[in-house]
Amino acid sequence: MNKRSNLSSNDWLLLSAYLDDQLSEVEKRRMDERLQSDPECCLALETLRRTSSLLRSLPVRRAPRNFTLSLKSLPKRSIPSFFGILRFSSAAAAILLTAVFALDFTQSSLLLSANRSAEDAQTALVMESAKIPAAEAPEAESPMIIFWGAPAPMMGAYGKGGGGGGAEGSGFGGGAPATSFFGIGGGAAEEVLPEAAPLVEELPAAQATPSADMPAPDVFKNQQTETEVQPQTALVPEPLTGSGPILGVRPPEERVSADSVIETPLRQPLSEKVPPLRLIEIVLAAIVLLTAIPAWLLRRK
Amino acid sequence: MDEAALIQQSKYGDLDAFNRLVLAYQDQTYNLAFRLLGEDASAQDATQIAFINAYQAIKSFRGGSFRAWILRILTNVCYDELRRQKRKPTEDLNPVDTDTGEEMEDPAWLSDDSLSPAENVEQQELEKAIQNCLSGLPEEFRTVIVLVDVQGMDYQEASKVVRSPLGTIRSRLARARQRIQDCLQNVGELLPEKYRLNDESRP
Repeated sequence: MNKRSNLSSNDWLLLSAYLDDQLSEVEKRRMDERLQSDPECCLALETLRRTSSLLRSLPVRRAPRNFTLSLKSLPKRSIPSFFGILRFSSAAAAILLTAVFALDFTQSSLLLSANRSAEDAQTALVMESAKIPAAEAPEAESPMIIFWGAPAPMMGAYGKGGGGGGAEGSGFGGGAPATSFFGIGGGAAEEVLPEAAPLVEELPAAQATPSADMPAPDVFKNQQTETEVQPQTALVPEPLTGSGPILGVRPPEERVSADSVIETPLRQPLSEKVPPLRLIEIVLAAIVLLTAIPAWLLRRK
Repeated sequence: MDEAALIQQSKYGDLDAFNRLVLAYQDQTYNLAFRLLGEDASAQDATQIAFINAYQAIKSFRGGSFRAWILRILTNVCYDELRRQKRKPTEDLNPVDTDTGEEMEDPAWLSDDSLSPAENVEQQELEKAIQNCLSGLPEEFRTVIVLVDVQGMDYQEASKVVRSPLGTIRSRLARARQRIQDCLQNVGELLPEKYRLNDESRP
């Protein structure tokens, strides 16, 4: 039965220290007084003393052999220092990797906002250049009008990203030739796609009320994915004769001027496509893995 | 040659001088390792590693108690070993008595020529019971009670070994003694009569 139920842990602490003569004078005097009046405390002290003496009675284990060292028995320091290098380099690489990630994230945010402002500027430029044709062709407000100046084979050659750009171009009133948007590249096209997709989805409604005066427009239809916007029916236009302005068809001289105005600013983001931090991140991650795993294995040994 | 001179020569790389220190402290070092780890093979390994580590770090010894310094190194080695054992528990290689199912300790460790066979058996039972109770303590409690009650150190030197203030030593020791006392009372029936803590016939 445990007989210390009425003693607090502090009592036991004082009793234990009293046993080893580790109490201050004041504490010792108080404990002496208490021991004279409290038999339970006396019994606890006696039990503690017997426990302590039992432990002291344990035989001292003598060394079963000599542990003297020889030059042979001393391990070479190469392994521990190698382990230290591995451990240090893995930790340093992990810290650097975190820093580069943070830098990359910050730069990405800045670039994103910069790209958006650049797109806004491009949009303004496109709309500026589209003013004249839009004024000449009131029905060009329809988003599915594609200018005949954009040759279909070129669209196929530029791929899906260009398709997205073309769809957006048509949404701006058809002022810009679709070919000019193909220069944006994959990244720019992806970012504008969410805006371009609803425009494309409106196509069937607009297609239901074609203008009798207009030539049959080229129509894009939204396919399974947002990026796969392909021409559904490329209606072959009748050969056009005459030199007057025709809705949706821009005179060759205007096409040239529009291309020259728009292409220059839109092709600039191509030089910013290479992510320099990505390579550093990959290298650092490789260093972390290649050093941390051997260090971990060495430690387990 | 005195201890300080041996330490100084060891700092200059004199292995013979260091080995004289090893011979002077190997029994205490091994005994502490045995009480902390509870078995011979691990205790021998820990003792050897501790002396190797001590020789390699002798230049960092700044004076004071060399015993406390070497036992601190040993304690750290033992903690590492205990953690390793927790990660990779191993089977005890002591043979098992087929009749009782209990482990048979190596008699070479436990026999004391100065005692009669009956006393030897009693001593073995007691030591086994105490060692089991010690092994059940948390590491920090175990270290303090072994240093003070088994090795006979004072609080000041024990505080240097475990690098803790005196108040911590005092409280850990009190709690460790309580736990050991409870443990020994629980196994009291198995102990020889004269060692029972709750023997009412004793004063």
